[in-house]
Amino acid sequence: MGTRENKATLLESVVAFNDANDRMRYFDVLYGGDATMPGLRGYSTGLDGFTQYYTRLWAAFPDLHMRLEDMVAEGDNVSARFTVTGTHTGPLGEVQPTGKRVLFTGATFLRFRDGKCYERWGVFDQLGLMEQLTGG
Amino acid sequence: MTEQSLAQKNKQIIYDYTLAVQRHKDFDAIEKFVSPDFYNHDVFPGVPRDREGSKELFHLLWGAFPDMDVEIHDQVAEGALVTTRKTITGTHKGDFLGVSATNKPFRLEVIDTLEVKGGQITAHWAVADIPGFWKQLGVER
Repeated sequence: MGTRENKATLLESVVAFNDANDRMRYFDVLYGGDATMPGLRGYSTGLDGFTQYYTRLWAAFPDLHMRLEDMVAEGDNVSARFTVTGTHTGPLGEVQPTGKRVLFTGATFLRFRDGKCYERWGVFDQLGLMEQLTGG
Repeated sequence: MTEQSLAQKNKQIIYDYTLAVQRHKDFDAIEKFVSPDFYNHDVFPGVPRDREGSKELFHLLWGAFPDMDVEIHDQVAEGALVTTRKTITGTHKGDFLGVSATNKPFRLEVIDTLEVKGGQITAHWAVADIPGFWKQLGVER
C-alpha cells in the first residue's frame, strides 16, 4: 500500500463521514481494529473511545459535513487539514442545542499500516466552535 | 531536482525554521526563511498576516514566554507543502494579547502546514487547542 492508496482511503472515509445514513462506515473504511487516537481528552484512546466521541458529535450536529482543504502524504503518513460545518440541533456536553450553524477548522495526522490507519493525532479549533455556540 | 527530493529539502527548511524561531529566538531567521510574499492564513487576532506580522508575533511570544520551546513529533512533506505535528511549551512571564504574566506553564499541541516555494515560506495554516492554552494559564477568555 502506498501514499496514493492511503490518501484514497482517507477521501473515502470523508464520504462516509458526510453520509448521515451510513456514518458508522467511516470507522470501517479508515481504521484498523487496533487503532489508537492519543490525546483525545475524556475518552479512551482506542477505537471504542473515538467511536463514542464521534457519535456524540454527530448527535449534536446531525448534518455535520467535513471538507478536506489539503492532504500531505509521505511514506506511511498522511496529514490533512479540514473544515467542518454543521447545525447545532442536539446537546453538546453541557451546551444545549442552539440551532446555530457553525464552521470550524481541524488538522489530523494519520499513520497507516496495510491500508488502514492505526494511529491518529488530531487538533481542532475549539475556540472557533465554542465562540460560535456561546457568542451573540 | 525530483519532486521527492524537493519535498525533503522543504521539510528540512521547515525543521530548521521551526527550531530557529520557536526554540532559539533567532530573529534574523524570519527574514531568511520567510518570503516577502508570505501570507498567514491563521493568525492570533490583531496580528498582521504578512512577514512583518510574523516578526511582531515572535517578538511578542519571546517577550511573553521567554523559555518558549518546541518539540517536533512528526513531519510529512509533499510537493510544496510541509505539515508538522509539534508541542510548544513555555511559561507566561510577560504581557500577551492584553493578559499580564500569570507565571503559569503551558503545553500547546499544534499541527501546522507551511508552503515552501523557491526555498522560502510563502504561506502558513495552523490548528491548535487555543482554549486549552488559555485554560492552562488560568485565563477566562
